Amino acid sequence: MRLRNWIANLVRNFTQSRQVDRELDEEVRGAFEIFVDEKASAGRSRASARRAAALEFGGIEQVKEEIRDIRAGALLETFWRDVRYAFRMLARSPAFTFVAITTLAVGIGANTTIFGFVYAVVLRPLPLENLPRLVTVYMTDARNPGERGVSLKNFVDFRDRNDVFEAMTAEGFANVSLEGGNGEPDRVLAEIVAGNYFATLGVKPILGRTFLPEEDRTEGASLVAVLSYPLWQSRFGGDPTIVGRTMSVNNHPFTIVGVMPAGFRGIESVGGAALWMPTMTYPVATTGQVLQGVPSRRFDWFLATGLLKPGVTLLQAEANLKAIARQLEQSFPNDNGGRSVGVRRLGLSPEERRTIATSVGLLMTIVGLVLFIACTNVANLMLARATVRQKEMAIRQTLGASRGRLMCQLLTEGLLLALMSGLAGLLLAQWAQDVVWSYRPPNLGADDIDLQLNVQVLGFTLIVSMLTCVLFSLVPAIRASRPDVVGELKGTTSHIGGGGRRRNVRHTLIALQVALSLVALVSAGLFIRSFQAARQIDLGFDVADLAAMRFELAAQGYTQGQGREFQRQAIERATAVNGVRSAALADLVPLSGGGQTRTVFIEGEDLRDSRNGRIVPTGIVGASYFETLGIPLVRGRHFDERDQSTAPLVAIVNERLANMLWPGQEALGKRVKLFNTDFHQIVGVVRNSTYGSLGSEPPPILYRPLTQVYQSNLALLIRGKNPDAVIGTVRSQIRQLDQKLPITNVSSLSDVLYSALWTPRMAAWLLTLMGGVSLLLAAVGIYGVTAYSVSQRTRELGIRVALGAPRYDVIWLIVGQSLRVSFIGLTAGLAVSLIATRLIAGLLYGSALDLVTFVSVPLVLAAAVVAASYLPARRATRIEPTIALRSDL
Amino acid sequence: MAAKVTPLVQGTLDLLILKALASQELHGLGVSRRISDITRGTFQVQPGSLFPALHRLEEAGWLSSTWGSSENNRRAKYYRLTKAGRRQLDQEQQDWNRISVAITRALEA
Repeated sequence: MRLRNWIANLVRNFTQSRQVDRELDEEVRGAFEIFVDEKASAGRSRASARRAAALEFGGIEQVKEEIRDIRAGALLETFWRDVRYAFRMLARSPAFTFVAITTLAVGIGANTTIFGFVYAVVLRPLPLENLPRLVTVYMTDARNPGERGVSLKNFVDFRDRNDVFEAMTAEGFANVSLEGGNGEPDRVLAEIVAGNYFATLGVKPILGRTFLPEEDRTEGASLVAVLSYPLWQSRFGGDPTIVGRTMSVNNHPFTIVGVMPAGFRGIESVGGAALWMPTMTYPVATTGQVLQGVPSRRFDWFLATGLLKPGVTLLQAEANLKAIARQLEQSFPNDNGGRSVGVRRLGLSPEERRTIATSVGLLMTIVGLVLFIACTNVANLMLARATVRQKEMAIRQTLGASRGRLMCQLLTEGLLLALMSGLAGLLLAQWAQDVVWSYRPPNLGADDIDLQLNVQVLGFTLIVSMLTCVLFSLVPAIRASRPDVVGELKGTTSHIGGGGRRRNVRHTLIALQVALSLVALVSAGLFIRSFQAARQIDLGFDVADLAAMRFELAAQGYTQGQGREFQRQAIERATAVNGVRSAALADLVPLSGGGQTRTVFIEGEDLRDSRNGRIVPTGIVGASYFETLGIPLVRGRHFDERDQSTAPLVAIVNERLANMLWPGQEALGKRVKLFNTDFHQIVGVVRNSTYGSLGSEPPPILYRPLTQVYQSNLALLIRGKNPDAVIGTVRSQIRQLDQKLPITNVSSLSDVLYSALWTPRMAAWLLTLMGGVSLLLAAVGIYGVTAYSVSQRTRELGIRVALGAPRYDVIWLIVGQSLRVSFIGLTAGLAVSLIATRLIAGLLYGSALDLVTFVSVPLVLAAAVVAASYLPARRATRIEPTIALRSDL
Repeated sequence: MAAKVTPLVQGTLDLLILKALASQELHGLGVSRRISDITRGTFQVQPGSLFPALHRLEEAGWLSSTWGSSENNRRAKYYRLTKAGRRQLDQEQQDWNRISVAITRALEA
């Protein structure tokens, strides 16, 4: 009842506000007149009665204000009025509004952009229905740290013997050749998955169905596949009748049974497979080492995911699986010796998390700094503006506004600014995100990330805007709501020097801005140097003259004999091309990886105990591999015609592997063995080189000759003066040998290096951009504050000039003050940077205590401070002393 | 000797206003005069406290108002109790009696 009344009154007060107000005025005024009548009837004159009445009654406006305050919806009405007033005030000073919104929009936009990426890659939960109960099951090896996969046989045993999972599924990635639909034959990333994969994850297809249990039962029997949404769109044009059609995978016909929804990428948050096939298609889908390895219990190639039964905890699951692992160790000591199992929540591994956390942390800190600087700029602007509006505030206080009301009004202005900036920042972020994504690393496709605007990003923007509002409007609002009423109305408030306490606040803000800019610029400087260092890393081979391409023969159905013949002809044709100095085949390509990771045993180790042996990268290389790459031979000899398949097995090691296996001894002549091979004799030692990511230590590598070990998945490497020019010719030569063979990854190694340097380059760019923005904002802030303080001191400066002070003295007075204030900021910023850079040292290729950076950045900042305060200072000296003395400030 | 409108006394002010309007219709100043009368001058309510209270009670539904003319033929707003207001007056009267009895007892204990 009360509520209904209240709402009814609220509506009336709102919709008929003018009439309500008129009645209010009539009532109170009428009451006042009646009061005067009473007094007058007691015999006084009307005038004196009025005076007496006025004293007793209190002000009419005050009474009206009291009534208004308790009326229904008074608060809302006040707020709405504040908003309209704020709008008018902001519209009246368009320059201020424009600068403030632009500044804040840049800060908010930067934060939203970064957050958008962070959310899409790290924070967004995967679109899997069963996500809360999904866990990753990984295996561990006693001798080699890190998470490993699960072999198919082990997976089956875990699946059948466990008590903790409602379901367990497995998946493995494989590159396959795809033909069908639009476009040339291509190689795409496929996943072979257990039949219950989609059901376990909890996702349904948008077309057709997923796999039936019988389709994952017999090896090579059911050649069926499920397409991913991007593949369905790009290769098959989104054909709604796609279910039931066939395509050719690795030269075998596969029936398409379903299509997955957009946004589903398996358990990856970025990237992911183009199509899925049952595990039992592995005889067709996989080749070479993987094909041989899948039936082996030792080949821990698959990734396993489990769906916990309701109520089962991670610890319980891990204990249960560990018990099974022990059983398997006893039953299969050779394959599972030293191998145990672990369970963790689905998502990034702890190692991935750590890397991402540092880089994300750095980015978000820097954009946070930029935002903070932007806020201090706007706060300074608002402080200056508040000083100008002193008279307005004083009058409002006289009319009965309490300090709280004045503050509310000012905060509402700040709120309006913040919301408008937030909106502008959001739009800016949408554009910026697209720009940043267009510079993505080359191995990611356009659809690999979902950057569409979502509730979380909106919410983040809103929160940041609110925070911004508090930051920049609170202090000015507090200060502005405390005007010297009497002084203002009389016009005698002095502004000499711009007010003591206010000046301190402004100076503190400037020092803060300088400090934060310094931190941002130091980060930028460090990452620029890091990028330079990365480019100068000695890779161990000559990048400039090299180019490569890949092709996979077994997928096209080549037997070993046919494959070797093709490879021989390929080398022949390649070397014959004009401009090619030498060519070689290998599965190991510098900077692009490849090769296989195998367990290597040295002679003398107990081979049956699989706890012995090191897991190292190995490569299969053809003749003149090392010459082509420019990797020098340190000792011994190259592979040559002696090393045929009938001859004794040989191998070459790099220095790192030699030191690892035989520290302090000569590696030449020693013998090693892989798990299922005979002994290889070491005939040569070569220099280290980088095969995987930059900056990590060159790995230990074992090389085996192509003539003795057949490999169907190879890269063709060519060396020549102008690799970009000749690689096309070589490619068409190879194509002539087989039109249907997909040839992929055709590029010069300089291009590959360029891509490999993506991370340090991107980091340097982004941070330089942010550093530049913060420098600009700080400079603008200093300019504004100096200009303002100069305008406040016009009279004083005019006096100085009139008394004969030389121009440069006056200039130095002002610039010197800015420098003094900034000096505090510089020192503070340096201290913070020195401490903070320790945290990001892991991300840098160079040293975190780079002298060049730490010396040049403060100098650059100091120069900016001088420049920014010089301009207004110079203008000050141009003031005619007579005008200055007459100025009314 | 004017009553300040503190939250504690606000309830009392409401009670006095309702009582003042129990027997007749009055305009704003009239209510203030009547309160002064019936409390023998103890409470002189200022317009700054009275008018907001009148409006509050009207919005709560206990008073209703009409425009009329005063003794000197000035336009004024006249307030009267509604039926709900009358019920509220009875209720508050009972509450007040109970409270005062309890406090008196406490002070004599």
